[in-house]
Amino acid sequence: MMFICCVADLYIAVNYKYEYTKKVFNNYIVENAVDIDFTVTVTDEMINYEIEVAKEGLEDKTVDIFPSSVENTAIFRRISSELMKNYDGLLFHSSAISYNGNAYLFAAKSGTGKSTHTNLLRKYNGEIRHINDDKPFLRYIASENKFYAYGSPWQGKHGRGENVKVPLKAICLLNRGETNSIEKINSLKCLADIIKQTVKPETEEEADAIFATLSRLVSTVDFYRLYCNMSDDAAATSFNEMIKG
Amino acid sequence: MKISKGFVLREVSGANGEVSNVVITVGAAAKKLNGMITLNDTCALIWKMVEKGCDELEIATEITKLYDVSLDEAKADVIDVINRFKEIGAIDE
Repeated sequence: MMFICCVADLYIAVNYKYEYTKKVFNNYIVENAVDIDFTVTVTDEMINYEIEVAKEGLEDKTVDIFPSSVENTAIFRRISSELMKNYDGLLFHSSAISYNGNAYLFAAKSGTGKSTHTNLLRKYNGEIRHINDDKPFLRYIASENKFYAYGSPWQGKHGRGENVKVPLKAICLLNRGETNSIEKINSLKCLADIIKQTVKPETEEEADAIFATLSRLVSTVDFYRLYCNMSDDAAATSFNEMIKG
Repeated sequence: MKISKGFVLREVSGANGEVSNVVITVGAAAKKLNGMITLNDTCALIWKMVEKGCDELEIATEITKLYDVSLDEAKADVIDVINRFKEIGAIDE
């Protein structure tokens, strides 16, 4: 079976086996595409790899992982890799929001509360929307010297996100704190935090591609570090100091 | 002595021409180093010379040309840095 989807402005033909996969791609599927940028064909080997990865994260190794549930993850891995190698892009694990035509990403270790924070922001200002709550894609568009944040079919456990494309203004590294404070930071000094949010390169060529894109990212986008708790004041801090300004 | 398979040193440049030397791992070497390490310019030079197949003495000699240090001091520092690369599994004997 095959469908064509448009993710991060790329037309991708996907050869798949399980019906559930098409549901995951739901509003990214297009009926007519003129030119296909690349094709992803899911193999048993790719599915078995995803089952292994999924099991690594489980306490109980005897739990069955169904191939139908991980097929979309295999496709995700291939799309992230293609984007990184050939299209000046990368996956940036974060909660991405838009306000007034600009995108802002909130990145942190799992469990720190990035989704909680972006949710507080949406309550704080009703015009703020989620681009993607977990796995937005980024692409550098050379002709505009600009990065764009894109929605993706992988919207995290709360399923928040839209199929949109928004110019990227800033990336905020989020840490828990007793009180709320935010400051602009030298992005080169926090590369270790930034690099953790993207896909690990498998080859030296992928490493080259990722470093080229990261160099552009740290020199075209503003970076902030936010210390925050879970109060409404946390949203006021990042909104007033980073988003509104 | 050589850099272990899967360890790569790359430069990332920032907005004001500032450059950071970053070591990451690719493929299976990710099990040895999760994330990245940043090297200062001297450590990056030592890394690049190990990549070319230079030994401690050759590297130390090069460093005495660039900095105001004696060969003995340079050699001690080079050995120290190389030992730290070995500790993280970045150098094979």
